Amino acid sequence: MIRNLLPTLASGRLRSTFREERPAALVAAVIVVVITLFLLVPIMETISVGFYSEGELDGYWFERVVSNPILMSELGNTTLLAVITTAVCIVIALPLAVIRARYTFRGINVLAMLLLLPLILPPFVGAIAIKRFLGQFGVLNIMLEDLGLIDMAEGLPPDWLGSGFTGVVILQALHLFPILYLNLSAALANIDPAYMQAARNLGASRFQTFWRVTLPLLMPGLFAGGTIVFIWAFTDIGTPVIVGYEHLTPVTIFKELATSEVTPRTYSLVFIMLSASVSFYLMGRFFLGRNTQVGSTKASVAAETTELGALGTALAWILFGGVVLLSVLPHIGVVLLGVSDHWVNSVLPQEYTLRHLIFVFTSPESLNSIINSLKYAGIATVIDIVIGAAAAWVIIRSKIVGRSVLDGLCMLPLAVPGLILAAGYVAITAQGSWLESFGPTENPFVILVVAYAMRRIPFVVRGVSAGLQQVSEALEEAARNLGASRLGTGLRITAPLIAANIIAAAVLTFSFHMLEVSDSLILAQTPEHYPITKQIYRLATSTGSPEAVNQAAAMGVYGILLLGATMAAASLLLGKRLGMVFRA
Amino acid sequence: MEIALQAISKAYDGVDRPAVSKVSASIASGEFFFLLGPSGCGKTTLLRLVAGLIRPTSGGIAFDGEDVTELPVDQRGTALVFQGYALWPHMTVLENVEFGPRMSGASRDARRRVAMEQLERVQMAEFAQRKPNQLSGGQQQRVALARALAAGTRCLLFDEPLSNLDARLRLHMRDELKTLVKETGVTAIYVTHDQKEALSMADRVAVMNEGEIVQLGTPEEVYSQPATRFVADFLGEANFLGGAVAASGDAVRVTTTAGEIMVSSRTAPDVGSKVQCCVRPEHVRIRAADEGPDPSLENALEATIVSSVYLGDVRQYVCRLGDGADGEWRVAELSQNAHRFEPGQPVLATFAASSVALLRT
Repeated sequence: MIRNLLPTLASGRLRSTFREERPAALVAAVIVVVITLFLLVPIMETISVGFYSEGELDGYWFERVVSNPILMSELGNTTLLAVITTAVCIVIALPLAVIRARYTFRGINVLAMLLLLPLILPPFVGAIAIKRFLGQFGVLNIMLEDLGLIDMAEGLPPDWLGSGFTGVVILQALHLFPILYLNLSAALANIDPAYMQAARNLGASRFQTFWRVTLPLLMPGLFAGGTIVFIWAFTDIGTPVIVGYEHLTPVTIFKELATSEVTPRTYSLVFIMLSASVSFYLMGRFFLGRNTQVGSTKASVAAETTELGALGTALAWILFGGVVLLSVLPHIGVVLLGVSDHWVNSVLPQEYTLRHLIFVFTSPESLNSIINSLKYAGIATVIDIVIGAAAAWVIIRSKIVGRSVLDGLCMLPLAVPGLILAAGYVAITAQGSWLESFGPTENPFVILVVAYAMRRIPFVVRGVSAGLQQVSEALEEAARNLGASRLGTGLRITAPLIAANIIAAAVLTFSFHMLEVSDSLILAQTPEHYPITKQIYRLATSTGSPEAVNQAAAMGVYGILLLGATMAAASLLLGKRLGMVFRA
Repeated sequence: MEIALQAISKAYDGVDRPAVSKVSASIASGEFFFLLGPSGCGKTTLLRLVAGLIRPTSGGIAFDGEDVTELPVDQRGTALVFQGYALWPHMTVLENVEFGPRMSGASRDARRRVAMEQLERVQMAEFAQRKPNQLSGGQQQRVALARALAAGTRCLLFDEPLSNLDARLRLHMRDELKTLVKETGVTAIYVTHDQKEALSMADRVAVMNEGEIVQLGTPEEVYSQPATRFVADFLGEANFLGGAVAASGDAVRVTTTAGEIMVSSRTAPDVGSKVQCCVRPEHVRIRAADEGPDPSLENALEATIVSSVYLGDVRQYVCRLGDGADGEWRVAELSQNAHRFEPGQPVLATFAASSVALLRT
């Protein structure tokens, strides 16, 4: 009966594998095209501009950059800044992660969640207040004088910020340590406790066990988090620009891109930054990150956690609480600045006002910037959710060849900082280009939205992937088996089950867009297109009005509120899985 | 519904051995058909091929003579009961069960009626408004079954549906499932690694190993006349003795180092060929050596008791055949009628010619 079917079967065979994965392949192809067009092409453009002089390919501008002592010393400075920031982050995050993994004490879950708070407060906003705290006549020195430790009358008090380098390190480290903390916590959770128990059983002390067993096994997690922190610090422009420390390569690039002084030299600098970032990223991801998989084993025994006594709990609270407090200090400063009427030579403002907070909504420029940001961020979020969710589906659920390449491509924005992407958009919309009318000085609406969207694709991909991994494939198969189409299954089964992840990814992405710094500062050059961050930057650096800083701070307050609310919503939705979003 | 598998194979990229290799079988309408084998033998892959969740690398599948190899999963019309049940956590029990009829376009009333009917059948109607996570494992099992039945399929597929239940409930559900399947009259394919489940429920069993069906037959056939040593071992304890065929025909005589064995074989092996004789422990009777052979049993081999263990219902002896070069046999005697033998005691291991299976070597 079946024998006569065989000729038709044979002809259908070749098509079947392809047909089964055709939707996935189609989706993947579209995503690859989009990322290529809007991420890779602009980047290639910056590289090629930097390597052309007088219409010919050569290394003239590159040599000019490399042989320029000022630019080279800036590059050295930038590297040093990133190294120190990363080191400080490790010093803060490692003990916290280890304590979290080893001990339990009352309130640990709340404290552990509060540790993520700094992530939601952009250092760029905190920077507005840092001078108020650490400057020569800042709050710290006033407090020290009150305590009788220094005497301002005797001469100039110490300048804790120095040239500003210290301030940038502090702000960056306090902002970025949670990323390292999350990665280290994940790595610790992946180490089979039996490894440690075996070492203890063979006579190693707690410290020896940590040093010889735990720490080596933690290395992949340390490097994974460290890479992100390093690249972030290495290419940050918001913080140093507001703090006023400008002897850094990203700041130089920003200054040249934001004015009309763009030369191939600028792009050569961009190329150097890009090569460095991508090398660090690839090193972290492939060379060191690969060990994560090999090293992470299923636990064969239960982890032993020690319940802390009263003293231990108190010490742990001081440590965790201290770090949390320190990291939100700049933002407390921003809030105070935003509501202060008069704040000179005192720890807290002498008089308070709501004037600045109200100003934000009455000043046409500020209001306009808020409306602009809502538009840019809203559209970019929709783009991110569509692309990111589709990519996550292909990566997690399909079996198509090369889906790990797609995953790598979607993570690429992590290695390509906003600064470099912005440079790419400046390059493709340069004068004389057919895209000129979309350029920063014309109407940057499109390039701002696209640049925002490209930057946060990794968040959505990771967030949605995390949800898909938790939903058993059998739930989808059961629906297909009972006659639901692919689309029907997606809408009726998958989407409701990962709704929390999608919503969380959306609110987070939206709020990150709202406070996007690098792209905004570089790509919005006409006041009517300024987004919030550019407006804050303009106010914070303006010398026109004495109240401009307060107005900038007031806008920062709204930013903090927005991010705080969205982060709270996201963590309510995702619970412990929140950390997944911030993984490379 | 009649199901035909024609030389069906499934290979995965980067895996040398195919998960399923050229399997052919035809399953009659209304048959309760079992795929039995150790984990990794390809039985679940074969089931998923039938459901259309995966596509074969080669070969074909036909339902009632109609080629369905290329038919996507949602148009196959099978209903699969998943190992972990796969009840959707965001839907109530009723919504879960209604899903099949909803997909086939049934009206609200119609699908509700069908769903409640099936929930009543599995005695879960009172839980219709609960969410799956408010149910016990056994209750979830029933809902999964109701969901499959409500789809109105002519082909039920079971992927180790009882493996997540505790032992008592499992025994109970065996009977219930069998009754239900027989009641509805649908064709059912059931995957399991539990030989007791297969033997007690199946109309026919396909024993699988390394992607192939090694033997296909009724439970009695595969148990008492295993075709290979693997089947003999997998379906329970078995004793083996190698030898050469001395005479063939209606009665086969096999010469072994422990003595001659008479076999009433259905096939007539070539004289001189090497074979393995297989005898189940419960088919062997121990007699004291001085009693002499039992005239009603054709075979009697000299043996020495090595150990004797009381197991409640049976007493299990281990005895050494002949001079010990042929290994040890296990014998299970019902403890109530067993005469007790002591270790070291010379005995005769006696068994009928009809209880010997000849295995290919």
